[in-house]
Amino acid sequence: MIERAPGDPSEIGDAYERAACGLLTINAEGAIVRVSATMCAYTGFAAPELVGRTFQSLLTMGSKLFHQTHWSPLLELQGSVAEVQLELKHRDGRVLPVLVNAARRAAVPGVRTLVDIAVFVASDRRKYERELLLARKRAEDLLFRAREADAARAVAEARLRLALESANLRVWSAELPGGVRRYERGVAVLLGRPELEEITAATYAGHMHPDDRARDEAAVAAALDPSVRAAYSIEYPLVGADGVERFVRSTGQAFFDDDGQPVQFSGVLEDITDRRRAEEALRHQQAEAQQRAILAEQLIGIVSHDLRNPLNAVMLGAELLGDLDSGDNAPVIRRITASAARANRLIADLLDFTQARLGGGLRVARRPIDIHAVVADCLEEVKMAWPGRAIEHRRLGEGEGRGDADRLAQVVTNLVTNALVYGTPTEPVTVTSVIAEATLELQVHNLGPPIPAALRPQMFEPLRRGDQEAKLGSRSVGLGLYIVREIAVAHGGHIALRSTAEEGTTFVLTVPRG
Amino acid sequence: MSKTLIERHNIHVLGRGPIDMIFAHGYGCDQNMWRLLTPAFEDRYRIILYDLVGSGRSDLGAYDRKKYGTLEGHARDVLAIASELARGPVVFVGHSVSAMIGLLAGVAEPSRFRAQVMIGPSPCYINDGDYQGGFERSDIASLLDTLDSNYLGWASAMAPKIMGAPDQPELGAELTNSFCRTDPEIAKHFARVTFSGDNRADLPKLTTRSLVVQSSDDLIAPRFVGDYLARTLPNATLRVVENIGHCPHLSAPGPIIESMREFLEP
Repeated sequence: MIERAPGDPSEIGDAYERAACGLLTINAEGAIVRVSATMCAYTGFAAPELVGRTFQSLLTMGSKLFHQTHWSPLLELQGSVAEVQLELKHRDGRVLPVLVNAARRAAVPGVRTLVDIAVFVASDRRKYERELLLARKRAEDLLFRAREADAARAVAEARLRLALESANLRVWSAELPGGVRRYERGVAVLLGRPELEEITAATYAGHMHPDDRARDEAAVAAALDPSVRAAYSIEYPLVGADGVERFVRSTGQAFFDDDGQPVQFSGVLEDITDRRRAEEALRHQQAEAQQRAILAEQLIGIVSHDLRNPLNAVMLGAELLGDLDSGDNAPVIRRITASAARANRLIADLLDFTQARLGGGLRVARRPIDIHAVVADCLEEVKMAWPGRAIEHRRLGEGEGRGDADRLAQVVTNLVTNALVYGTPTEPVTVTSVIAEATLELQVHNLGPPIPAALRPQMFEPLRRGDQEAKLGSRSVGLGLYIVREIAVAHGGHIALRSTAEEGTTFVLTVPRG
Repeated sequence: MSKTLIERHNIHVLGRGPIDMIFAHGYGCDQNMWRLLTPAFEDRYRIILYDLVGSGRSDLGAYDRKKYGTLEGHARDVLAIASELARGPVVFVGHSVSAMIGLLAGVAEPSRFRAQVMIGPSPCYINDGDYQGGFERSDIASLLDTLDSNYLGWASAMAPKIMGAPDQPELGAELTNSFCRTDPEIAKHFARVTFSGDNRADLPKLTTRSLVVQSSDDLIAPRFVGDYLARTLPNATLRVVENIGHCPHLSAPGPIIESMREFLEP
């Protein structure tokens, strides 16, 4: 290599070619007229290939657009442009981020002359800038989100305020540890004081009864105890400065930090005076109604009991008359006897009802019985009262069981009478007594229209009738099924019901055998 | 005259002629683009220069992304300026995207326009079947990326710095601060609106006589587009000017002035 002194023309040419940036010159049409070796290296083209091409053609599409919409007008108007970031497209397809400076020689507005361009590779700078850009965008996003969150919080607070106001709730809060409660404006109203008066914790406490203050302190202590964190909700009366007593409910929650220490305690006061009065009035009404009901049932018991004695006298008298007179008066005497017997059964039902309701359930005396015999005896009596109706008795199983014979007979009488009243008159009523391994069962079946589904849930409640039109021979006042169920329960058993149009209606009473 | 309108659009009025001429700059820069053209018309026209909201020294705070989400928003501004400032039907000169803004304004209220001059217009930049707008959608994404990489520059006054123009002392500091600069986010939004728009269906509705000035070599508005416009606009004259680039009013002001005069004062 030949040594050349600085300033030597060929040395200057060398410096141009090998400068640490790409250099090129374009003419008025934008076509490259001269290009340095460094610039050729940036693009992958040889100088002869580049001369004649436009500078723009070396750029990516985005850079071309930017070149047209920003760079060119700037250059036209200002004569020079510096530090614009563009992207060169290398011959092999690589994209090279570059910074471009350009200056027009002897700029005259409206007349295009040569433009010298310097191109600096900015890959690293581009990377840093991308990172900066990303960071900036992230910061902007965060700011945007923070603003959104602020706006959302403002909306939420406004909504909360509206909700608090429309529900007449007043807020209190305390910073912990050791902070006293602060009451928001408006709490004064609860104390019968001017609405805008500031209320201190001491003022507020002065309106509470000393017992309630102690209760409240205990509740607060429990709410702030990190190991308890009890829900704080307490009700007490406030004696107003205006002499009016107002009931308030104070509910709140403590907030704990990561160490489990309470840092904030806040809540609301609600004026519950009206609600409390309404509740008290309701409780009073309910108690009164209950009292009246108990009285009525007691009255029924007393009356039915007291009716029995004169009725027994009537029955005894009729019996005596029957023994004496078998002539013309016999039908009259029979009617007296039958009516008295019916009245007696009614009284018995009423007594059972009152005992079931007021005496804590029916009492049964379970003794060894033969259920088949109990049913057979009972059916003999029923058949006498219903001549002309078929009643069949089926027996399944053998052996002794335990039960109250009189009460079980009462069940059979009630269920069979019902079956006769509501069943198809031309079809038999079938009673099946079952002695199973562990249970005794009584099934009473009749054909006929099923019991409407709507009636079934309440059928075993007192004073509900199966049918509004009382049929001939019915003696029911709606206590029959109620008593049946009570007898089943008193035996430790239960009553069930199946009723369909095809199979008819079957009541099944099941009680333990032993 | 409403003061806010003047401020919002950085409006400048020049000349004393009987006819009003509104100049609307294209995407990228601002009303300074017209500085080589306006002196030629100041004697016979009253010239109204303005910056599109979001560009130049317009009120950036008035840039409502919903209103300016389509070119219609800018067209409404043209009509507002015409109705506030003009004394009669105006000559509207629009460069690039502003030619389409003028088109929409002219379709909406034809009586406000005497003539329209469209410099480097394109009703649709994206190729679509037989229509050759010149670009693919990915090209627009690439532009947005380039805008992003000049983001820092725009924001921190690092670039594009005007290196000073000793031979043009009239370009003061005020100009260098505003020329081709704007909020980068707005620039991107406006770029998206500009380059993804399609106003081909509006072309047949323009009744005003129009001049389409087409550069012989323009990357952004190629010859195909100029021919398409001249064919589709009902009352258009096409003039092809020898020029390379998208801003013939800067690089070839003489031929532009000549074609405009010919068109406006035959």
